[in-house]
Amino acid sequence: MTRNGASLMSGVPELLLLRLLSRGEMYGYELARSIRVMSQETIEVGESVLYPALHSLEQRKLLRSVRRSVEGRTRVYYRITPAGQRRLTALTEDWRRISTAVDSALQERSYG
Amino acid sequence: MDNVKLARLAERLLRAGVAPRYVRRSVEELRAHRADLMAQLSADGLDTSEAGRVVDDRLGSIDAFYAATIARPELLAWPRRRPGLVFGLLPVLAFIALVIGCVALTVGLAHLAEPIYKTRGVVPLTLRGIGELLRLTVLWGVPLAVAAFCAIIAVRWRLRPWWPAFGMLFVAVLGAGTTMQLTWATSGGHGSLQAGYGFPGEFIRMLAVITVVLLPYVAWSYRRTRTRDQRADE
Repeated sequence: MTRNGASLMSGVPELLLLRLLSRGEMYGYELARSIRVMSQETIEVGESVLYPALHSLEQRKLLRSVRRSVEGRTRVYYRITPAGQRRLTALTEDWRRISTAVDSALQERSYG
Repeated sequence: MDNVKLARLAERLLRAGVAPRYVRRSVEELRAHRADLMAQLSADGLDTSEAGRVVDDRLGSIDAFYAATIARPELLAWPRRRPGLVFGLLPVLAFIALVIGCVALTVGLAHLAEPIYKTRGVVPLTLRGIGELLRLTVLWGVPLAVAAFCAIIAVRWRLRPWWPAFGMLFVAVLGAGTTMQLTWATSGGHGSLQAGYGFPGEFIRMLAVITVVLLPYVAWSYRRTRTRDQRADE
């Protein structure tokens, strides 16, 4: 696997978070729930992974956060930045290429 | 993850060098997440104790959160990532900037005093007092303030003491060698302002920084390490 591929495998939470936030701003609990629903409960990004991943994306300027008070509770909402959009496009392309490669390797036909 | 566990998590993250703003944010978000999840599970019909168990299971242990956070070096505070820059270069720059600022203020004061001196033949006591205060600030106040700033950063970010102690000692040496002399004009003579640096300088000023800032910081750091070791033994 290429270096990009290796980082892609460990970057699944990053891809999912960027994908969800490309649709609109969300806060942590919403994101955790949405990932579970979106992946039909196949992928579960634990809270211990979710928040450090969000903070890391923000630190790398791929996300921006804004604090809002909703129903008496302060929530931190995240939204994607233009740099985050570019990163999402790159990650999606990488993921599709690897997915296609793995699919074709799993096909039951002989080569050569 | 109750409040006690969250406080423990926060302290561990700070000691590991995670930036305080991410530590505060993590605690705040986990607390809100817990409340949202509890509300959701209660709405789904679970009783409080059962919901609490599910929430604890879902949120995971503080060890897992701690491990996931410190695995990301980008979340570490910048004094932890670049201690040489923060305690080697930054104090020197801050020191120079503050000294230049004080000297500039003294020059401004002299310009202010000039017309008064020309009409009255004497510089008012108030201006002389301010001038002396600025001189003392350069000689004593600036090194103490910069060294104290190093100590505050080190305490706030729970840093290991070597780099901060080096920074404070460096500032002590800088401060000891700084000179500033202000002489006001008297009848028939001109006033003068001289500022410079001469090594090793006045030992008493070096001692002041060491005694007032460095030693208390080292004592605090030693006590903190001992307390931590004792807790680990327990």
